[in-house]
Amino acid sequence: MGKKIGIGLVAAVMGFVILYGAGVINFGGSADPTNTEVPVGVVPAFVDQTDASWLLNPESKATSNLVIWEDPQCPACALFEAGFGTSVKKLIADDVVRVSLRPTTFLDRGYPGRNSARAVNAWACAIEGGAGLKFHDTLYANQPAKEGTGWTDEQLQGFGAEAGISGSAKTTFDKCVVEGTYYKWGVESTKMFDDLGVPGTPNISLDGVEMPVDVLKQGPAAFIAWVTNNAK
Amino acid sequence: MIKKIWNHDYFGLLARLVLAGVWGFAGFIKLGEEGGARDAIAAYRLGITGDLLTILGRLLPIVEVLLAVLLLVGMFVRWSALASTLLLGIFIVGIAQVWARGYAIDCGCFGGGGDVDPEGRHVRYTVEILRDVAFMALSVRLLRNPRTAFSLLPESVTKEKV
Repeated sequence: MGKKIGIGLVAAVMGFVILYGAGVINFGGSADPTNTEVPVGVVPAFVDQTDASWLLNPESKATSNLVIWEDPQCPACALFEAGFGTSVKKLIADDVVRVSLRPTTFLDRGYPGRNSARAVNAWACAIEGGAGLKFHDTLYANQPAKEGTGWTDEQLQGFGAEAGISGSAKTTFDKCVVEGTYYKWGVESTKMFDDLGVPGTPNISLDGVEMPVDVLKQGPAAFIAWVTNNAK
Repeated sequence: MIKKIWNHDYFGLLARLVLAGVWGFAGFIKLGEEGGARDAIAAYRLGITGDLLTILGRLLPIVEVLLAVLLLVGMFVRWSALASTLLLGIFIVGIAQVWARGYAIDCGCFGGGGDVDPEGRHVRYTVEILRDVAFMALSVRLLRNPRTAFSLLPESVTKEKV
């Protein structure tokens, strides 16, 4: 008697496992019901076509690469930008390293509204508009207090104005934000984020070596020293 | 006296129910997250990437729920206890190595995961490991003596030899 129930139960669970594994049953990550039209978009030409990173200083003569992974909705990323944004710019000004920013939108999995993906798209629109870094800084400086709240299209367009995009470029930018012209950038970059098993955000590495957590705790001077001492 | 309670059929039942609750809770939360436990596993920095990471992420919550069901009804208790012990052992080693290497992560034990504020990580890691050790003790109890009250498929074993 017990054995029969047992076999039935195990069979039921195994069936469930197969269905779940095949993706027939899916408890999480269902499409956002409030926003059914997800743009396709393209990967912009101004990002690296193989790894979807955006190199801040292509003119650099440095040989070491500092890579920074961020999700626009990640509070720790906003803290990093507030505390170390100027340090990164100093490293660029002194030509210590090449700096690549790599976006991920993995936090969208936990919140409605595809806010990280829309923000990454808007960021690409701003790069096209010639104000990529300023938009990036404005975006993180204006992260909502509560994680997951996100931004409206109007807010993202406002950040573009704040970053200095104006005139006909602003018209193009605004359209790009709404239409999701570069939506695919976030999608492709997040795929790589998953495939590489990046442990979280922000994630900072120099030539493939992850920065120890204690470095950021010690402040900007320690951060600059770590990068400078470990750069080739 | 303590040994008598420890090996009592009703203590065995209690151990089963506690572990079933823990595994069931942990598994169900992870099932509800996209990719299962993938992001949480990635935070442990074990060099697991790509498809293997995706598969493990989806597999872990299923194994946890399966364990919970078996322990709840009391079937294949010995095997479940063995799996439970091994899994907890892996978790403890996982937390210990990420702690020793200086990273600050959310263990992702009950959903969530990823990098977090390093502040207070020593206390968090200590509590997590002690908690897992406690669950492991219950698992070992069932592994060594799978006889418990109200078991759907009682183990055909004689009393534990000590």
